[in-house]
Amino acid sequence: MDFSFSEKNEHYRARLKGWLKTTFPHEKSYRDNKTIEEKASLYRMYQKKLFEGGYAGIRYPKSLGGADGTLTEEIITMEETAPYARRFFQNVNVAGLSMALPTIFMAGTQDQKESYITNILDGTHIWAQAFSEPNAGSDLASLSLSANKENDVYVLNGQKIWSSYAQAADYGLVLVRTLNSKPKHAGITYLIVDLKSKGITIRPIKQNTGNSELNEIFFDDVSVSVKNRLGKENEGWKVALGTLGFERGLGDVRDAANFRMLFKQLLKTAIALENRQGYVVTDSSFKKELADLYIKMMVHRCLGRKSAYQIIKGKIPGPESSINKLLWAELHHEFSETAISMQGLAGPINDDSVYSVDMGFWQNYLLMALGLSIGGGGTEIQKNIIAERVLGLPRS
Amino acid sequence: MRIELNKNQELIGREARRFLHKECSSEFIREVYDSETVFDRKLWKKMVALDWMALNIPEGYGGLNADLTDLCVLLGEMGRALLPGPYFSTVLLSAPLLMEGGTEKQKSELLPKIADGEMITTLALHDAKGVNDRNGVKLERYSDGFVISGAKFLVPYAAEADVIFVPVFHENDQSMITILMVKTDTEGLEFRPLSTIDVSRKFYEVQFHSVPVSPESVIGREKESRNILDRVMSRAMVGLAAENIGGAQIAMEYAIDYAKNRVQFGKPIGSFQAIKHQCADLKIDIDGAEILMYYAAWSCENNMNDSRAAALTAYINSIEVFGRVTDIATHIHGALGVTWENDMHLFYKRAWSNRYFLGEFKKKKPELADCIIDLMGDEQL
Ligand SMILES: Cc1cc2nc3c(=O)[nH]c(=O)nc-3n(C[C@H](O)[C@H](O)[C@H](O)COP(=O)(O)OP(=O)(O)OC[C@H]3O[C@@H](n4cnc5c(N)ncnc54)[C@H](O)[C@@H]3O)c2cc1C
Repeated sequence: MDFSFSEKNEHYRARLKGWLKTTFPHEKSYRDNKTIEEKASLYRMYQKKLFEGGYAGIRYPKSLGGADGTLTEEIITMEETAPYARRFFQNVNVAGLSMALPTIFMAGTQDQKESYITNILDGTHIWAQAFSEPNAGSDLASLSLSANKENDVYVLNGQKIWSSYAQAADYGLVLVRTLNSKPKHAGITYLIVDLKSKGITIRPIKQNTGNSELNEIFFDDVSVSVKNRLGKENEGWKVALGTLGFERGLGDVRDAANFRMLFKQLLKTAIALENRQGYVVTDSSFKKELADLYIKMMVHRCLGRKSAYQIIKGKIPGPESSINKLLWAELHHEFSETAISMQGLAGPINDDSVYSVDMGFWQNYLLMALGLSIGGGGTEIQKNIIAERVLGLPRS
Repeated sequence: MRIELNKNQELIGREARRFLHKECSSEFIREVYDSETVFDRKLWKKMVALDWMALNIPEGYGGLNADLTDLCVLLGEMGRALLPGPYFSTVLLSAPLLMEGGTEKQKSELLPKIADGEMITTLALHDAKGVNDRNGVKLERYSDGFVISGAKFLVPYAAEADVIFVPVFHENDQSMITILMVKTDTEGLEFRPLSTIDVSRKFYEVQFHSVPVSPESVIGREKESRNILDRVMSRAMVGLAAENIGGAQIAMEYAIDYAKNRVQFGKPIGSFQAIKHQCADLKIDIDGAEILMYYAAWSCENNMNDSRAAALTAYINSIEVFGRVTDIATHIHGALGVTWENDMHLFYKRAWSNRYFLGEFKKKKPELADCIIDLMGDEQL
């Protein structure tokens, strides 16, 4: 086995590293108290620079604004840009970059590709995913937002919920019901919706962190051209599933780079706290937690490398990718718990006062992590997938 | 990048599985339990014929020069079969000490014999200090050699071995070690068999009653011994991880098979989510442990700067996974799982015995933490 990249690829990495350092020279601060608008504009600036530098859409053709690079280069780019992506809130457009982009590229018409792809890559447009509904969460296929076809437009009525960053988004990926079918997923259609359209109301939802990144979206006689349909009518489910495995596989690599960065931050903070508290890195219960965290992080990292390898070889990761989704969510929980439990009595302090550690970053993270074992398919759903689709156990 | 086994490794695995299925079935393990035959020399000879002892020994000394990953594939199969005998203690724990630190003379004298299966060796790693009233081993130095006294504990297959490798940790400086080779027919050695939960792997207490050792029997210079031992132990940890994962894998396969076929309340129990999710947990555990093990094998083989951390990571994780998996797999079998008849206990016992094989497990996480702090503590963000 060989877990390393070729010399040529490492060369690419070195060049990219240098470019990132000179293009985005400033150290980041930890506290994240920016408004969504501020985050969106930082993201746009960052994405535009990546685009201009030739580091956006690595694996996409130049004619659509990509870099005509290889998948391996894409993977290395994800690893190296991870800290910058975080600093410039690239997750504001996770729906654009890791859902809309590959979905339109794989299932879109030439017109759709030309209209949307470059605008995603150069930071012009932000997208949102609007799949979930109040009565269709884990059981997504039971969604009911109605779309009645009138000539060459669909007229949408109903509600979506939990749509991340929709308040900052230009376009939405929307699953709608076009047929009351059995099975339920055979009547679903996939649409691209301009979120500034008449009849759309977006209402942010305040979360446990105090921030409002999630949104409700209300559709009241919203007209969407049939030209905005991705794939065929009633075949939206297939389109939606098509890109998910692929993206999760690649995303693992970026997440692994993020975890590594978080781990170094945690270690740095622990060493600094040793002076203040007189114990932390010398404390045996901390050492045990640190070892456990490292082990889990390495599992996630190595499994991520493995799925990246499979993708490079042309194999789309199957239901096993649920394993990494689970580990990913658990790791977020464990990172924040370990980081807070080492802070002594400052554990509950969440502001940037003289008492706090890392300006309350970990306390915010603790709360944020809770949602990660729900979003994108909750723990139980992932375990059902592993048991039924990987191990072949009978359906419940 | 290549994160899958190559053709040759797949072949090693397939052939080993076929061989062990026949020669080391669970009936055979039960015979070992019942008769307390510690070591079946007939089986050892058949393994020699397959070149298993020669696998990781360098070509110049009658070996095949295989890499650690090849060896791990084989060890995984041995773990599945719960192979009893001194394979691990010879091939993983002691021959590599010679390869890492032996003189040309020591190597050319001993390695070919190990490769041929003629010579069985073991490592007496753990000082018996703290066990009952025992003391660890001490060394007296004379102009014409050394004298060892004291006791070592949990020494695998000591009485079956021809040579025991004995690291003596210096009293005031644990980083200083003298590694000695002691022939088992030397006067003053006493072997006391230990009764442990896992009869399929035999351990002894070895008492040294003023055992003389010649200067030619020292492995490596004392200043290098810590590194020699650490390198060997890193690779052994990866090997043990492979063995653990093999055992965990087969326990999982049994449990899933049972969950699909056992019917209660009119349905296979595997359709109940509480059981189903436990099965998923097994799979998550095992896939993770396996990739950590292969990563560590690669890291050790290529002397990456994280090789020690990688080995500890794979080893610690595999120990916990083996314990957890065999516990859950037993549970899924209902009352059958706790019978002598069912194989689950054989694996569960091995899981708990392996926890102590390479030292006190409790100390391993702090050791890994120190290793990580060294490795990453001053890396840039
Ligand atoms: C941070 C965050 C971001 C999100 N972003 C988006 C977004 O951008 N776009 C979007 O469309 N949606 C988004 N979602 C919504 C997400 O996809 C849903 O929350 C998720 O699918 C679960 O649906 P639910 O919340 O209705 O929970 P429910 O489906 O009601 O589940 C409640 C609980 O029951 C469990 N459960 C449900 N079914 C089963 C079953 N069959 N077996 C066992 N247990 C079960 C679940 O695991 C969960 O613990 C986001 C959610 C979060 C938390």
